[in-house]
Amino acid sequence: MYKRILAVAGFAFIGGALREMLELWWPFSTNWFGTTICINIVGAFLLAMINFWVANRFALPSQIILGLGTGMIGAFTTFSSFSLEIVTLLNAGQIMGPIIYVLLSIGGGVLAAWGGQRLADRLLGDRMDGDDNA
Amino acid sequence: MIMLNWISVALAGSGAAIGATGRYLVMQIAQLISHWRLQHSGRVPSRFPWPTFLINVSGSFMLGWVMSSGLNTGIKVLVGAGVLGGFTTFSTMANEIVLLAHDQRLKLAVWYGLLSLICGVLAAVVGVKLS
Repeated sequence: MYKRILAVAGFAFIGGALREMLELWWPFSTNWFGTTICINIVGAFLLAMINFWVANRFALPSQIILGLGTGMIGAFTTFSSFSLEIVTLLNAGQIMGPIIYVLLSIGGGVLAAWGGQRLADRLLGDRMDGDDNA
Repeated sequence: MIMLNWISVALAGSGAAIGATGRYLVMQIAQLISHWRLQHSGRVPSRFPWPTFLINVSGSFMLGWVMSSGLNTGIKVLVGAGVLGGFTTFSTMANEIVLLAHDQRLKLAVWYGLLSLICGVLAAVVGVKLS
């Protein structure tokens, strides 16, 4: 159990630090709100690839998969900033901004996760006969 | 300035380690509870991803509160960007939505996404107002 917690915490440091670096380079403002959106979309894709491709393709210890997925990517992406940035845009009196923000985040995030899961299936399909309908 | 940025990065990383550990523990406890309920009362666990939902909504509330508070910048980075940023997660939610849709639970998938959005934003508003 403690090994799994250490893996989550250690990899989460990387994910959280990376997110903060990107947020410092391209800070959120009412004129630019793309950073968190991009982080969340990229993270949704990477989590799918880690859980569905890396986990099945490489013989890695389960703690490492947990660390990479739940730890690193879980901490890299964030829902709390997503909520607060929408509120900030709404408080600034914007209407289109928050709508675009929500559509890009959820639409992009779901598409990225779907694409990642599909791509993982494809990549594994060459090795294992399609388990999709099994 | 560059020094200050690296301190922020280290603070956010350290906070995220704490927040993500908290998220992992909440998920583990939720799993134990649903196993226990299945064994003792035969209740089939709901497919609605309650753990992620509750983590994200409560984290949104706390971030609204922290960022509108008079706390100093270092604490805001450590707790806001770090702990709460690491506690909440967007990638898990996106993947859960896709898995629900994949399992022919399209309605539940849509409800999950909509409720997360609405409750997350409302929670952040309440956090900001209470601060």
